[in-house]
Amino acid sequence: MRRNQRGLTTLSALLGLLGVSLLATGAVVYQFGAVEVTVEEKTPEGDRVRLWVPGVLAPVAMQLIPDAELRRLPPEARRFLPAVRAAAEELRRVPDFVLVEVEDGNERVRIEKRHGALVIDVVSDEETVHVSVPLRVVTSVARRLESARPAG
Amino acid sequence: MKKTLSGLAVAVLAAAAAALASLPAQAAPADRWLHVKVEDSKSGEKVRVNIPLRVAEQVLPAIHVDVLQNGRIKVREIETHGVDLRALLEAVRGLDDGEFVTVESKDETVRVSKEGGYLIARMQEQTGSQDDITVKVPFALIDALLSGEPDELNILAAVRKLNELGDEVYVHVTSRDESVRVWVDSKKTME
Repeated sequence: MRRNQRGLTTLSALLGLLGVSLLATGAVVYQFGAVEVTVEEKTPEGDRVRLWVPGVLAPVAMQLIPDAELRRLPPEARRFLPAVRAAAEELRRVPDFVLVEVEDGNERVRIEKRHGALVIDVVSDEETVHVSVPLRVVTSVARRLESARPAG
Repeated sequence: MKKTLSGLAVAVLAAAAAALASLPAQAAPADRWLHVKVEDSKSGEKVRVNIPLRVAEQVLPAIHVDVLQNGRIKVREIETHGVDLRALLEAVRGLDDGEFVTVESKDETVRVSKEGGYLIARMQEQTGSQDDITVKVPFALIDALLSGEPDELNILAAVRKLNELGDEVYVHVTSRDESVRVWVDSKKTME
């Protein structure tokens, strides 16, 4: 009887731990949001691409890339990294808003800050594109790329 | 006795909490927004841009590309056709309010005036696209723009000044087919 009770207690503790871990993981994933990319071609045989990656994986993935590879980023792009990071950090502090909206005939482009992410929507006769990148991810990736400075 | 004291303490704490909650919250400074709206009625093209000035203030110092460094643009990179911008500004500032440049031709009329701390340029085209362009720049903004070294335009200072100034339309262009409007206010949308 006592052995059974001890077994139940251990199982309860393990289940509790699992629950807490799942909740913590869920909280972290929710906090970072997800990188979403959707491309739909408006033709009968058109391609349809859907990508959904938890944003929390981006900083982890960036840590796995060797510095030598990150240093290969063209200098022209590298010069914009501090600005990209600053923009992402500051955009997180302002309320949701539409940054750019362009309408030209049947084509529409909209870039907005929504729920902590930079969201780009393009709708045209040929295709629909939706990209959503959490600003936390932008900050984290830009910071990592900045840290891998070329020598000298 | 102890129970009475505890009850009293709880009551005092509750009252203090209620009093604090009833105080008006310290209002954070409202975000100011730069809006740009371009509409072409002929092609149907519409462009709308909303920029939070706070974000611009933080991003500008981080941009280091050719002409723009630390929120400043080297004037030598801009074609000024030999005109000394500062000297021109000082000359205009010393004038009384009024219209001091008027150019009238068959096709267009250009007027430059100084009114209540603003430098206002207006161009009206009688033929062709029938443009009506009004640019209104506060002297305070020009001062901020020229607050850097003699050979540079201080864009960052100008953005900070825009953040301090009141709601204002700075550029207004209307023509037969196109309209452009640049303004600053406290609304994040254009409606």
